[in-house]
Amino acid sequence: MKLYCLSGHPTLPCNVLKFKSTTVMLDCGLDTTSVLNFLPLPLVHSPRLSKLPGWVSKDGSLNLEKELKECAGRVFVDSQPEFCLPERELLDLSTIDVILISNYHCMMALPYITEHTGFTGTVYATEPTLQIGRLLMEELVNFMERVPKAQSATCWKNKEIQRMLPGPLKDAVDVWTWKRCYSMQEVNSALSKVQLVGYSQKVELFGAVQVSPLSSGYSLGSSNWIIQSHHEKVSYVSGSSLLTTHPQPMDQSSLKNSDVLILTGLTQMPTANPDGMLGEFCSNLAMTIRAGGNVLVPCYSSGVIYDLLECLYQFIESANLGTTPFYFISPVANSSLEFSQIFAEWLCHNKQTKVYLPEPPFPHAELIQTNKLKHYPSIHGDFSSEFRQPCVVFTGHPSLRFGDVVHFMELWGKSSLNTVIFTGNYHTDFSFSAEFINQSNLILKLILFDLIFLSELNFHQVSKLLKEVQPLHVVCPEQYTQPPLTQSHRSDLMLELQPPPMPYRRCSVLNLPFRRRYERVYILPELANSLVPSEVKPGVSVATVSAVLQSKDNKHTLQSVPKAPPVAPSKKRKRVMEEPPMTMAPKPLLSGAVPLEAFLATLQKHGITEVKVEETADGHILHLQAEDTLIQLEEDGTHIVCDNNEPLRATLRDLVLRFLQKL
Amino acid sequence: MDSQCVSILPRVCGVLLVSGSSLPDDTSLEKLLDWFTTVAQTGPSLLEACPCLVDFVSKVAFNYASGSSILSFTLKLTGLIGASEDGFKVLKECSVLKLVFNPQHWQEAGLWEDPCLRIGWIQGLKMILQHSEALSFFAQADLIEPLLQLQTDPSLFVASAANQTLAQVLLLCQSLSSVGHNGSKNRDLEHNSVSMETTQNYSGIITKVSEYLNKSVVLKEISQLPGSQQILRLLAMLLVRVGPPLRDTLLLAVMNSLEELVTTSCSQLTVPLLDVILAANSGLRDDCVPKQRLIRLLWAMLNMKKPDDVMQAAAAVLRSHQSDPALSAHSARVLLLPLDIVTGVSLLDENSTEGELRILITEQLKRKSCISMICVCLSNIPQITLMASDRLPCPQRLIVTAVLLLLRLCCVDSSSSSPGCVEVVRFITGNSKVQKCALEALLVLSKSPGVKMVLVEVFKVLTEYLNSPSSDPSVLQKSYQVVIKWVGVCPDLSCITDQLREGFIQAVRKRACDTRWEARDSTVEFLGHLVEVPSCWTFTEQETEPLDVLLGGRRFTVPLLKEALQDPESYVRASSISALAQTLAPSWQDGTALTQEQEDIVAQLQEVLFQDSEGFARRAAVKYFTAWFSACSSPSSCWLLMQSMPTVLSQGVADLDWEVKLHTLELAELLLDRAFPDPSPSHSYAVMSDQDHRLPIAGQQSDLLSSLKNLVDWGVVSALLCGVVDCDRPVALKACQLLLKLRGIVCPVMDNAADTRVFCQLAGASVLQQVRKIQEIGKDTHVVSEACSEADEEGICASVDPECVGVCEVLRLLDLDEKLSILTQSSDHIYNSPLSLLQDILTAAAASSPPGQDSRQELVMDCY
Repeated sequence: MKLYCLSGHPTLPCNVLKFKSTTVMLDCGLDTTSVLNFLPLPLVHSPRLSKLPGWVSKDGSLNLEKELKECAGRVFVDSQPEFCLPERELLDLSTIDVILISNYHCMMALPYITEHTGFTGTVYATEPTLQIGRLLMEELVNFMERVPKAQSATCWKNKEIQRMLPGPLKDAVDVWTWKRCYSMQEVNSALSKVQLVGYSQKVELFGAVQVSPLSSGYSLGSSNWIIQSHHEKVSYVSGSSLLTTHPQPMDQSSLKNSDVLILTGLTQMPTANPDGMLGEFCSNLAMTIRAGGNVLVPCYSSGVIYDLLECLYQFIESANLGTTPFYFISPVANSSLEFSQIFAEWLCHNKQTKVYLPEPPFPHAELIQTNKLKHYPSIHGDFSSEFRQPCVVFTGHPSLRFGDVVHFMELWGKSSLNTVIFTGNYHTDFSFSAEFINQSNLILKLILFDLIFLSELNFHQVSKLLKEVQPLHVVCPEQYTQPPLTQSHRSDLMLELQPPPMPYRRCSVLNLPFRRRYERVYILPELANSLVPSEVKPGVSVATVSAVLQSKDNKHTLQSVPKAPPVAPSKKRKRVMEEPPMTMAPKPLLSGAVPLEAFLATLQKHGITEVKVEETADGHILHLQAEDTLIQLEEDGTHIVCDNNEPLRATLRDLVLRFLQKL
Repeated sequence: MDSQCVSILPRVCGVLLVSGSSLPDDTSLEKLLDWFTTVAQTGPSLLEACPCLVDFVSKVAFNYASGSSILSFTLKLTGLIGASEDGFKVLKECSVLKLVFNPQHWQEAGLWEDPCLRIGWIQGLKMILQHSEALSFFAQADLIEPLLQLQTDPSLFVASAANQTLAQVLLLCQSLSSVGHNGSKNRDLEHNSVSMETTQNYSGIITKVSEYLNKSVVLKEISQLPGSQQILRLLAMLLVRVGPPLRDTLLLAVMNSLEELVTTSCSQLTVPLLDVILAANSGLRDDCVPKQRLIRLLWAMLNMKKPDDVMQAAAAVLRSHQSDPALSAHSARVLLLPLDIVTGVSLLDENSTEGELRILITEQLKRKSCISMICVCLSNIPQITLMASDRLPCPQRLIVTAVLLLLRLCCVDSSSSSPGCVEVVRFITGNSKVQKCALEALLVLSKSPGVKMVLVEVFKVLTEYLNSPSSDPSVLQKSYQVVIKWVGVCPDLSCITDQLREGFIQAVRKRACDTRWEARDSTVEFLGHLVEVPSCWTFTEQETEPLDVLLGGRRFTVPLLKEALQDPESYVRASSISALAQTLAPSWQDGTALTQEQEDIVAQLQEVLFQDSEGFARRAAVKYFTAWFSACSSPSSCWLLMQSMPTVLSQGVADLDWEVKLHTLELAELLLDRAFPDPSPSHSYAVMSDQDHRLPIAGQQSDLLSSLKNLVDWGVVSALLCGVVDCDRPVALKACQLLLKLRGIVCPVMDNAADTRVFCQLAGASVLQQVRKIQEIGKDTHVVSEACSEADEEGICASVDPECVGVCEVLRLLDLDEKLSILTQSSDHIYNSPLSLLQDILTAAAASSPPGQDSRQELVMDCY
C-alpha cells in the first residue's frame, strides 16, 4: 500500500492511494497561493496600479519592465494569475481509477486532472459538493474571463532569470508548471464525470475495495472517506469540524478501527476559541461602522459566509446596525444563497427541523427579505446605483488579486477609517495578501481572523478524536508534526502520537506501514458439503480441502475439482488445454502429542529397554543406546535419527504414529 | 413578657408532651427555644417567667415515648434553665438534671443512636456549663467520657457541637480556676474546700482531655482521616481560645504526637496540622522551649516531599505573619519557585536547599495540576510584597517582570516564549484562572517601590489582553481594574507614547462593541472610573488627567457612553448612565456652561425613565440626576437641571420598581434640604409657635413660603405625597419621614396664616383618592382645633382644581406619626411574634387531634 502526495498544502490536499490493485485519488485541491505573486486584476482602470514602475535589476543587466512591476518594495508579475497545480510527474495520472472529493474547496483542481491527462475513471462526490463546487469554479472562471489580459508573462520563469529576481519570486517552486485558469467548457467536462453519492453509501471498486463517504461537519455535503477491504480499513479525514455550525455533524464512530488514518485539513490557527473570534469579528465590524468607516470582508461565496451572516443576523439589532447596508457581491451570490436553503437533508438537525415548519433553514433569507442584505453579481449594474456608505461588503476572491474585491481595495484603501477583515486561513493562504496591503501604501485597517477554522478541526479536537477512534497509524502533512513557526513554544500545537505520525510533503511517496495478511475466499456449497471436519481440540475442527481456486474481479472462490472424464476411447489427440487438473489425494495431516511415559512403555513392549531420556528446552531426547538411535520429541516435530536401519526406523515411526491422530 | 403568652404556655407544654402531636412546621421548636433564650437574657429568670417549664422538663425526662425532636428540644431547654444558678438548683432539687444528662439513661432507652438526641444532649450541656456548680456536676457525673467519645461522632453536626462544648468546658475550667486563685483569700474555709475540690475536678478534666488529644492526634490508619482532621481542628480552636497555663499544658501534651504526625506527611492533614502549629506558635514567647520545637515542626513541613503540601505550608506560614524571619523568608522563596521556573526570570539565587524542591515542582508543572500550583503562587504575592524588603528573596521589580512574562505566556495571541519551563505553556495558555490570578497579583504589585519604570510594559500587556479575542469577560474586567490601579499610582504618564495610546484606544473602542454584554459593561464602567483617577503630572510639569493621557479625554468617552445608552442589555445601559454621571461630574462642579451634548443626554435619560423596560437603567437615571444635583454648586442657576426635576420626580415616584421610587425620594430629600438649608430647622421654628413672635415670623413666613412654593414647583411635595401611600414599605417609610420633616419645618410657622396657603397638584387619580381617603379618616378620628378646621375645609375644598390639595393642611391632616410607627415595624411583625408561634402550635395540635373530642380541655387536664 502506497500513498503518493501530490500537494504539500495541508488544507488543500491531493493524494493518491494505491490499495489492493486500485488507484484512488483523495481530493484535488488547488493551491491558489501562487496568485499572490501576481498583480491584482482591477475591474475598473486603476491609476495606482497602472502607474507602477517596471522592474529592472539593480545593475540594469536584467530588464523585465513589461512582465514585472514593483510595488512598495516587492515585485509582482503583471499577467493573468496562474495556479500551482498538484504534482503531475510523480505517477501516471491516467492510471487513476477514481477520485474521491471530500468538500467543494478541495476539488478546484479537478479540471486539470480529469482533462488532458488521459483520466478515464469516475469522480465521487455528494450533491452539495458538486453543485457548490461548480459555483466556485464558475466564479473563478468568471473572475478571470471578465478581465482578460492579453499578456502572458513567461520570461521571468526562465531558471536563469528567476534566480536573479528578488524574493519571494526567486523562491517560488516549479513555476513552469503553473497554469492559467481553466475554461467553463473544461469545468463542464470535468464535472460530467462526477457520480453522486450519499453519506454512508457503499461503492464497490472492482470488487477489491469499498469506499464510503461519512459526514464531516465541515460544510454542506462535506465528507470524510472510508476505503476498506474485508480485512483492511483506511480512513481519509479531510476538512472536518466538531463545532455545531450549519452542516450535519461529523460522523466519528465510523472512523474507528482504522489501520491507517490519513489526516488533512486541520486548522493552522488553533489557539482562538470560535465564539471569541466570531464575537471579535462582530465587534470590529460594529466599531468601524460606528466610526463612519466601511468594512470589506474578502471571502469565498459559500461556506463560512453562511455562518457569518447568521452571526450578524443576531448581532445587527443589538449593535444598532439596523440601517447599515450589507452587500454580498459575487457572480454566483444568488445561487449560493439559494442553494444553501435547498440542501436541507445535508444540514444539522436544528436547521433540518426548520424546513418542516416551514421556514428557510438559514436566517439570511430574512436579511434579504428585510433588505438588510443585498446581493449583486458584480459591482457593475444595479449595485452602482444602490451603493450606500458606510456599508459592509462580502466579496471574493480572498487572495485580493482578482474579483470584485480588487475594486473595493482600490476604493477604500486610502482611508484608515475603513477595515478589511480577513476570514481566511491567513497563516497559510493569504499572509501575503496582508503583507500586500501593508506594503501597497494602502492605509485601511487590516484585521486578520481565521474564521475558516470555524469549520476545521484544531489540535485539541484532533487529539480527542484520535483517542476515540484509535487508528493504528496516522499519516499527515509535515506541518502538523511541528509547532507553527510563529509560535514555536507551543508544543501543544502539533500532533504528538504513539507511534509518531508519518509526515508527508509534496512529492513524498509513503509505504504505508501495514501488510495485508488475510484475504477472503469463498467456498462453494457442494465443496463445503464434502468436507469432513475432525475436532483437533475442543472447539477447533480441521478439514483438508482439495479444490480449484478461481480468482476473478478480485473475488476468490474455491470450487470442487472436476472429476476426470473417462478417457475417450477415440484416438484423437487430446488437447492439452482441456485437460482437467490432476487430482491427487492429499497426504494425511497428523496432530496430537506423544506422551513420554506411555511411549516409553510401548518401546519396552517392543523390546527396546535401554532408553536414556534427556530433557531439552523444547521437549525430550530419547537415546536408544543399544540401537544407537535418537528420538527427538519436540512440540512441533518428532525426529528419528537412525543410521542405516530402515526396518527399525519404520517400526519406531509406526510406534510414534500410534499416538497421533490423522486427518 | 406578654401575659397572654404566659397564660397559654402551659397548654402549649401540654401539647408538646403528647407524643405524636404534629407541630406547625419543623422550625417551631427552634423558634420556641429562641424565644426562651430571649426571655432568659432579657427578663429576670426563665423559671420566674415560665414556672411550668420545670414540670414539662421532668415529665419528658421520664417519658421515653416523646418524639426525638421533643426530647432534643427538652434537653436544650434544660440546659437553658440550668444556665442560671437558680434554675440549676431547682433542676437539681427535682433530680431532673442527673437523669436528663445521663447518657446511660438514653442508651438504655435505645434513643442514643438518634443524632438528634445526641445533639440536644451536647447543646444542653454546653448551655448549662456557665458556672462552677455546673462544672462540679459535670465532673461528678463524669460526663467528660461521653463528651470525648462524641468528638469524632459520625454525624458532623454532633462532632462539631461536641468540639465546641469541649472548648467550653476547658474555658470554664480556666476562668473558674483563675477566679479561685485570685479570690481565695477573701473566701471562708468552706468555700476554700469547695474550690479545692473544684480545682481537683478541673485538673482531672484537663488531664483527661490532654490524654485524649495526645492519643487521637496520631493517624493510625487512613480510615481515621476524618476523625484526625476533626481533632486537629478542635486543637487549633482550643489553642487560639485558651489562655497561657492551660494552653501550655495542652501543647506539651500533644507536642510529641504532632511531631509524629508531621513525619507521616499525609496531604489531607497538611492544612489542619498547619493551623494547629500556627495557632500554637502565635501566642508563644520566642525563648520558650515549645516555641523552638514548633519552629522545627514548621521547617519540617516546609521540607516535605510533596510540592503541593510544601506550597500550602509556605502560604500558611506567610499568612500567619509569624515572627521567625528565616522561616518567612524561606516560605517566600518556596512560593516564588513556580514563577521562577515557569518564566525563567531568576527570582531566586541558586540555593542548594531548594534544589530538590525545584526538581519536584518542575515535574509537577509538566502536568495539568500545574494550574493550581501557579495560582497558589500568584495569590500569595500580596503577602510576599508585605514583607520587609531585606527579607525578600528578590527586588519586587523582578517579581513584576516575572508576572508580566507569565501574563504574556498566558495570552493566546502572544508569540512570546520564555526561557523557563516550556511544557507548562500548553496548560496555562488561555487559562483564564491563571490570567485572573496574575492580573490580581499585578494589581497589588502596583504599590511596590521602584516599579514605575515598567509602566509601559504593564500597559502593553494589558492592551494585549484587552485586544485578545480569547480574553474572558472577567479577565477583561480585571485588566481594566489593573489599568486604573497602575495609572492611579504612577505620577508621570509621559511614557505612554502616541502609538501605545492608539493601540489602547482601539482596544477599548472594540470592547465597547463586544458581543458579550459583560465585556461592554466592564468597558463602560472603566470609562467612568478613569475620570475619578487623580490627576498626574507630565514631564512638562503640566497637570493632566489620566483620561486625557490614555484615551484623549471626554471627546472620546462621551460619544462611546452615549452609544451605550442604546445598548440592548440593561446592565450596560445602567453602567453607561453612571459612567456619564462620573464623566460629567467635574464640569458640574465647575459650573461650566451646558453643551448641546449634555442636553441630548438629559433628553435620552428622560426617555429611559419613561420607556426603559428594566429597572437597572431607570435606577441609574434617577441617580444621575441626584449626582448632578449634589455636584452642582448652585443648582438653581442650572436651568436644565431644575427644569427636569418635576419630570424626574413625578415619573420616578410612579415607577414600578421600588428602588427607583426610593432613589427618587432620595433626590427629593436633597431638594428638601436645599430648600431649607438649616440642619435643625424644626427646632428653631418649634419654639416660636406662639403669637408672641408674630413679627419675626412674618419674615420667616415669606421665606418659607417661597421655599415651599419652590418645592411644590419642582414636584417634591407631590412626589412625597405619592410616595407615602405607596404599597412598598421602604418607599412609604422614606416618604413619611420626609413629610414629617417638612411638617416640622412648615407647619409651626404657617399654622395661623390662612393667606399663605400653598396648593399642590397630585398626579394620578389613585394617589389623589388615597390622600383624600386618609384625609377623611383624619377628619373622623382626630380632634382638630377650631381655628384650623375651617382652614382645612377651605384648603381642601376651596381649590378650584379637584386634583389640588393644600400642602399644610394635608400635612397636618395625615396622621404621619401613626403611619411612621406602623411603617417602622417589619411587615411580618405580627406573624413572627411569640404569641403567634404559641397559637400556631396549639392550632396545629387541635387540627391533628381526633374529631369529637375537646382536645383543649383534655390537654389542660393533662397539664395540670
